[in-house]
Amino acid sequence: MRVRLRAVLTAALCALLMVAPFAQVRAASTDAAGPLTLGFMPYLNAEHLIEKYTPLARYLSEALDRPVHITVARDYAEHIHLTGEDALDISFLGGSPYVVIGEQYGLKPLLVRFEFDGMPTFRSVIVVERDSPYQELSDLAGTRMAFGSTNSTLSTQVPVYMLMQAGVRLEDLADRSHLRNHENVILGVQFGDFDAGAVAEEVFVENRDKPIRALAYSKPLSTHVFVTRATMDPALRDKIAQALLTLRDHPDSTEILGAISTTLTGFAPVSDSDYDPHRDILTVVLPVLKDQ
Amino acid sequence: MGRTFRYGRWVLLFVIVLILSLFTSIASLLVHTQLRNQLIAGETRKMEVEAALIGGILTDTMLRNDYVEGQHLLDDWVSDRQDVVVLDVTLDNGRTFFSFRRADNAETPLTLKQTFQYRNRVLSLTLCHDATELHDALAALRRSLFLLGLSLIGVTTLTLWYVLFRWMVRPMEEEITARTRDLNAARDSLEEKVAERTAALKKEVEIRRQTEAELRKLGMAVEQNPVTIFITDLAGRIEYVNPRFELMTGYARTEALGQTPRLLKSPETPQIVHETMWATVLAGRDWRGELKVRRKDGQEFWAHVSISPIKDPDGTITHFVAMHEDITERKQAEASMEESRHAAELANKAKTELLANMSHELRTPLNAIIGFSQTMRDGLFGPLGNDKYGEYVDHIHASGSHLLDLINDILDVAAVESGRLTLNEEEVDLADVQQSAIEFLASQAREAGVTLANAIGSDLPRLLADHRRLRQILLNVLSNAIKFTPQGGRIDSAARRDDDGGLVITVRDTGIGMDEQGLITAMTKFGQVDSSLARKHEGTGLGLPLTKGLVELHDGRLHLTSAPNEGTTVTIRLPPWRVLDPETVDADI
Repeated sequence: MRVRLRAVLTAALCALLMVAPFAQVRAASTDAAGPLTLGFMPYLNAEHLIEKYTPLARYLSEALDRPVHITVARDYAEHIHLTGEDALDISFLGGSPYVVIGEQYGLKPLLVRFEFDGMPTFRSVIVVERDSPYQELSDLAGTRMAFGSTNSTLSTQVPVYMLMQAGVRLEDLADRSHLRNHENVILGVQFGDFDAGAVAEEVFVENRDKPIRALAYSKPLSTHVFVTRATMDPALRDKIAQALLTLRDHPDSTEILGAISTTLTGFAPVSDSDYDPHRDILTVVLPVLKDQ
Repeated sequence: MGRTFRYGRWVLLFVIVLILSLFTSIASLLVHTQLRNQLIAGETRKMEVEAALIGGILTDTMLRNDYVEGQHLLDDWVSDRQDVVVLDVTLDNGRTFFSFRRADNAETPLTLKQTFQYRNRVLSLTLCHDATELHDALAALRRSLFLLGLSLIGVTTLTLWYVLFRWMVRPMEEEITARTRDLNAARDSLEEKVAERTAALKKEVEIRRQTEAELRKLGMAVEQNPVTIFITDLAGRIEYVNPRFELMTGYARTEALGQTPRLLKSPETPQIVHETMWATVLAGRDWRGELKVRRKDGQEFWAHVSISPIKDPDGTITHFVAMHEDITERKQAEASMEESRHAAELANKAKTELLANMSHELRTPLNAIIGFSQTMRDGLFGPLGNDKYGEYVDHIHASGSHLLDLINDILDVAAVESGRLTLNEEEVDLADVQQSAIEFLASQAREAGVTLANAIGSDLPRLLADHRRLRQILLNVLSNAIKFTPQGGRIDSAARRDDDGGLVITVRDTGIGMDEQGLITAMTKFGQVDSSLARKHEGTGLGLPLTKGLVELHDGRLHLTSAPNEGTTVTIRLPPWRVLDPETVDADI
């Protein structure tokens, strides 16, 4: 299983590297007092991401007494590449990229994971238009469906797994598109370009005012995770992890966490085993996605 | 007229300005519209370019399903474009892809709608630009056009005003003024003629109306006349008869018309009368006479006949009109009067004979009685022997004298009334006559205890009168005054010239006087007012009537004024021609 998974992940990584041949790998900060980079995959629009995480970066800068700069990769492949090459001091990863990067580059030191409403897990949501006739996942055969990036845990890999579990194969879909981010998925369903779409529950919640509804939720999966480069001083790593874990006690925690998500209540400790379900899903899904 | 022209000038000026304003406004509107359309067209082309750009962006992002990037690009584009006030992008299912509205300026005429397709979807784009600049530009244009138009109107108006009124209107106005003056003169003349003609017509109508009224009145007068009237032509044929004709003659109108007046002719009327009558009227003169007329039933009646020719204005006889008035009653009355007059003449003759006989037969024995009684009273042949005889003789003499006076008065009255009394006129001195009368009555006045005063002086003019009758007048008046004045009374006589040159003689007493009825009685023959005084002073009762008759014989007038217990005044006025010396001054009493 491990061998198969490794082979699959290696192939996927190779594919990702092929689509991002010109991504620049910048060396992470080695200066003990130099600025740290906080990198994000573009699961949302870059400006939107910067806006969301700026309060957190400012908090970390104060806590670590050194600047923390936010950087957003052009796409998931670039972000995986940068993270795998330890080009980012702190990297925000979904469960699947963490697994993939671990398999390809070796496991990256874990810091914390998101805690939504006190839970360190989240779900993937398959949404349809509010007046849509579809009631079950099996109804989606023959429909047009939007997904996020193929490397996105919650907007592609998990929902594909959910469809497969419901007996709907990708080739059963009339059309399938992988959009640049979760917001595009929401808008694609809202505008009628797609009959259904898959996004993180966090994104769905933020867009509840739009004329969409949830068709199905996945099982809880460990939330997104912050990792550091493997070369980071363990003391700094522990300091960062401690700062993130104690953020909930900071006077400005509500503003800082609320800027990221209205349901984010803090950061929780994390271990590599928390992502075993992702490894299981990827084992099933990645071959399918690779074939498509 | 001048005021009318001045008013007309202003009206013309107003019309010119109005027309110029209208044309200028239309031209300005056209220019404004043209420029506005050009500005809008330019802006629209610009918007079309922008819309094409947006469409390209959207098509690209939609094809990539990168909605967020599309929205972000639109948001960035809009934020850099201050002139964009509305940008809406909707999909064919009604979903809004993008919506931007600048709240403070959402209303604009610069709106562009376009559609774009990606795959099988349609995007609708609505793009609105801010029209503030356009509005400002148009406002500036309007101001410029307004000022330009105003200047154009002013210059054109002044030019037209100068050209029109200097070269056209003023000569026209002068011509119109002259023509109007002529027309007014003609109108005044016409109105004057119309007024004259109207007045003449009114006068004619009035004359005709009066004539018709007169004719109607005359017709009614003829129709309702109590006199028989008929009209004949020159041949004597009856053409008209009035209702009275039918009533009087018994002939109906239809029977009479066309006949001649011979049907009324009485056989008793001599032929010569009719011949004379016809000769007279044919000669154009009126004929009047009394004829006997025969009715239809044969009865005859007397009629006063008047026949007159009817002439037209040039004097030609056209008809004759005959009027017959029934005078039967008058004829009968005249006959009766004639009989009465004849009887009266006979009676008067008998009375005259009676009086003549009385004058002779009564006065002869009375003269004997009065003469012999006077002889016996005077004892011409010796005393009567007994006083009783003397007393009787006095009574006989007094009664005889009274009776003789009575007879004389009666005879005088009769003579006056019959006109047989003639005056023996001569030059008379009134003072002498008056003095003689007073002396004659002096003893009577003394016996009555009455003072008899005479203020008639000798300076009065002499009169032309009958001496004896004038003395008789004065005696009667004074005697009456003495008789009716109680003892202690007074009688004043006076004379003066009247205003007309005549002579006025007055006798005023303080006697018993009379009321109105007494005055009438006094002037009645044999009338006396107070019977007790009459008995006391015997009189004939003929004195005043006889005196009045004698005064009137002298063409004078006698007048009494009296009131009970206030005396009586007798005034005798003689005409001026009786006064022989008019220069004599009045005599005061």
